[in-house]
Amino acid sequence: MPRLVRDYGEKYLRMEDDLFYFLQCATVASPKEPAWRDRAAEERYALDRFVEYLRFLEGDEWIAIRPTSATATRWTGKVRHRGREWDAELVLKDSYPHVPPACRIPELMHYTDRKVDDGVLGLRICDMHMERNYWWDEHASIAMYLKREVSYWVQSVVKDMRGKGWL
Amino acid sequence: MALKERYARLRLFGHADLSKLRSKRVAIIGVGGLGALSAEILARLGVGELVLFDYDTVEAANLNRLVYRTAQVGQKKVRAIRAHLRAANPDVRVTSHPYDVTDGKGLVALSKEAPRCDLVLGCVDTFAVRLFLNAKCVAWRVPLIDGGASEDGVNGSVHVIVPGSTPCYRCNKPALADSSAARPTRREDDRACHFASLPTTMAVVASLQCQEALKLLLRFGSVVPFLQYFGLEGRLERVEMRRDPRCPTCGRTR
Repeated sequence: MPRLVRDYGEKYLRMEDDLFYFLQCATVASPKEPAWRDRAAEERYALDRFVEYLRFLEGDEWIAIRPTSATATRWTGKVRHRGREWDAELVLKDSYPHVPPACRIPELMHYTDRKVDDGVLGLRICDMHMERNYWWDEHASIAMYLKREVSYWVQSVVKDMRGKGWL
Repeated sequence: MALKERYARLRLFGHADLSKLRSKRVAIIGVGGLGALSAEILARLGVGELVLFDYDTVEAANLNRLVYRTAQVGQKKVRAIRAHLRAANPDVRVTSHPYDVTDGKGLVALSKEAPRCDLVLGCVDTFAVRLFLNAKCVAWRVPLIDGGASEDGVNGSVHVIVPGSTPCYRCNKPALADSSAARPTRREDDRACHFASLPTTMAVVASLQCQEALKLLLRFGSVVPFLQYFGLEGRLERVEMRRDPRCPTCGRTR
């Protein structure tokens, strides 16, 4: 088990959920830097803990995503909601973790205004709604992004699509 | 002497020697509604070199925000603005990078160019990139002036970040907790998020941004750490902030 996962402790906890204790990474390194290997290991660890949390405590394993190569800069998998599932893709740019991942869920992209053009990924989900109290910093992980951004995006989009009779 | 020469009126300015701008190098990140105007103002003032970054292309929907012409639709913004700036003032050297500054060639170019600049103007439209530029400029110790407009198009703000001196963008809690960001955006076609964009507000914010840039580059007047413009009320508000010692970007105890 990696020992690097950061524990901010109660004093510095800024999140509303204890889950965030173990969803942050200690190593700050971008994909082109030597320490990225450590960071990628921490990302995998945080994601595994997040999935365990979903499986055993929430009973809703709504995300399954893995890196497509050893460099771990592109992650693909599925998002699930109310019995349906869709392909999802996350891309980590060279400036990650100073900027959040870019995420794309192609089958849901056509029906919502929550999307923007991204220079690398093309059309991606819009993360404007996480700006209300912008929480991303370089210790935040893919797991945190999924928890604090993608989960709400999927829920709101699917609700909207069902309301319009598209699902 | 008749006031016919290009910089004649600028030489009459009494608070600083504007000819010193010739030796200055300014990077502008994003040349959309705001950045294009700021680039034009700085070019006409005679800034020595402008280094422009933007991966986007000119679309018809950009034409409400001045500078770009109908014939330039489809061109890379940095290429289109370069032609415009050269026509406006051939004295200014313009270097353009048609890339995303957060990835690949764009990030490499930014890392090479920005630390050699006297100032960076942030004219981007997402908080993620604002925070990224903030972190980079603080690390490089290059002043950053971020400008932006609200989603409804009538308000704006200018944030001056002098590393080691003024609060950085992440210290600025009011800006980060902008409640307007939670409002749904209006969708006009099936391609992207859309916000209202008024050329009048953009021009105000660009002017304020460049005014602060001038003061910073030529060291006169008093630089405003955070300036908010409220278009509906016709009000400018200077916000005094303190650096957050625990700021993860610029704090002493981070």
